[in-house]
Amino acid sequence: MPYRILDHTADIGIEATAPDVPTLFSEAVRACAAVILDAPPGEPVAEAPVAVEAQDLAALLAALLGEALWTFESTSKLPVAAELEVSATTAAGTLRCMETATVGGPAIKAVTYHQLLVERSDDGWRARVFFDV
Amino acid sequence: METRSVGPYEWEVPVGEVPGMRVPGRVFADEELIAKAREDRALEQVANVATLPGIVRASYAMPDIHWGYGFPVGGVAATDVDAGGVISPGGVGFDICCGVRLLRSDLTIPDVQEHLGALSSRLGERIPRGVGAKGMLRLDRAELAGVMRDGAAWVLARGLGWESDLERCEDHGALEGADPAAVSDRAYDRGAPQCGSLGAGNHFLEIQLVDAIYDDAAADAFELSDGVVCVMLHTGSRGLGHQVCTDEVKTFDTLMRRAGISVPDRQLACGPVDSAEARRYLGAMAAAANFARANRHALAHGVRATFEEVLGRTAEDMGMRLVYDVAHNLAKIERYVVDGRERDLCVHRKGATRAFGAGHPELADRYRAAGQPVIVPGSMGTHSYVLVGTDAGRDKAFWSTCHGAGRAMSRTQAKKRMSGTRVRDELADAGVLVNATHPGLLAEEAPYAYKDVARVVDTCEGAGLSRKVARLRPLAVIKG
Repeated sequence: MPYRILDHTADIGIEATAPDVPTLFSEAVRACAAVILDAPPGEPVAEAPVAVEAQDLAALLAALLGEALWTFESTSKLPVAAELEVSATTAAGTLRCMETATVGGPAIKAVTYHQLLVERSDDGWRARVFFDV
Repeated sequence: METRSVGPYEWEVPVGEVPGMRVPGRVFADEELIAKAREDRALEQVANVATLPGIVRASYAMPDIHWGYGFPVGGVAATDVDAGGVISPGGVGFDICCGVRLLRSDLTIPDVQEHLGALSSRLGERIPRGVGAKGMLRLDRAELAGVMRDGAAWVLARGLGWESDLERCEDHGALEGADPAAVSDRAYDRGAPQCGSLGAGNHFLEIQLVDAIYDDAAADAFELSDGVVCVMLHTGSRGLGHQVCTDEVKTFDTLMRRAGISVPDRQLACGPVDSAEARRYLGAMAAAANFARANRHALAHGVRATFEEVLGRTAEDMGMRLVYDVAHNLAKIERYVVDGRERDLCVHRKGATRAFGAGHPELADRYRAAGQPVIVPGSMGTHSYVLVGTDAGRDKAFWSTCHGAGRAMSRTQAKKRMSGTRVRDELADAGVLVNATHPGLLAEEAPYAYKDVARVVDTCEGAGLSRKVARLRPLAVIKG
């Protein structure tokens, strides 16, 4: 399963897995959308450019998800996937978005660094992120 | 995580439970609340906070403690500014200066009973709420900078609210040291359309009725009496505060690595209070805090205007004066005697409320004899409380007490137990009107998802952190 939602007493988390880092980041964007929708995201029909930098892959993912949330807040387009080129400290490319989204889940305030993780796994990569809701 | 009883309502997490602990953890709880705290990772977070450089006395947790991010919710930590003590933006949280404002009135049940439906409905229409809602005030960049600098006074100067509101507000409606220039463009963009909006999630507005008085003298000072109608609102600094914290956690994560500081959880990212980054953060945090004060001030104006419209009387005639406005996510530099020496401490309160005892010089004259009012919202359908700070609170936990009931159940668990519409219907059966933009989300905030707020405030009283003054029963709830 490429992503799953993690339980938390007050907030909510996601865990994503993928064979490579760009796909991992895209799955994390999809998982974030699933939290917002409280349902599996639909197909993307719109795009938004994105470019972030940070000091390591985990912080990079947090920054990317922060941009996804900002895109949703400022344009109402909900990113559900990403096509990215990722280095150790940068990620740039395109957020792929649903044009309109019916919010069914809790409002996400922010991406936290709590237990933030991007690491190699036996068969690829794994990420964990908690959101403040 | 080991916890041992060290007194009535007090539990210690010994040094050593997490590597690098500099002080013990100290949790204020009764047997049931400590058992609840053991169920998630809250106590581990208490121990993690105890590793922060410069922390003094203990890493404290209030009785409404639960698992948060970095700090536990209900966490209090003070660091010695002149001894390398740190500040952690995550120890304030994303919703900087989230807090509660309580309006009292001279109205009683006969005045409002027939109008509750109309009040609830019109408040729902007039008070911007929910995800993406635009605020009552639309601000350009210069105006937003003014809000961040002057807080509630900026809104007052535009003719909204009453002069007397300011002295009835923590910090008189504006935290000193705000630096709007330290706030990012993204935070400006997020804050500009949101001043005067409630938000979503656990933020709410409630019409309530005082149904018990525990301390007559303090209740008199707070102008509360049995049977009067009040309005409580709970919200914070909206997207502006969220963005300030997002920006600063990233900055401090980098600073921490450069400074060679190691913490058990990256969300505890921190740096010396005596550093350029910390000074910048404190300026940005105060700016966001002032936005939150202005936000609640504007919303209270909307509440008064709605009552005037529905009941056909002026707010002055109805006696709709502010009781108080408290923050429960903030860091402040406060002065305490520790180990026989007076020191400046950076006191983080994350899901905890400052609670000055009687006589504190920072209190407005009207509260100095009684002590600081503390407003503790319950969960939808349960009582809320007004407390007062105590003399003992200073040495117990740097004049801090609880901030609410505290979650007991995850959102997923809460939704499995009951649908949101059923929660709404059950509350209606219990005499509580609920007006929600997304009834389906009500289950996440259902009363059963929270701890027993009565137990929490009783534990605060038993531990000496605060005393009960009044209890308020909900009549109508307006949710985002």
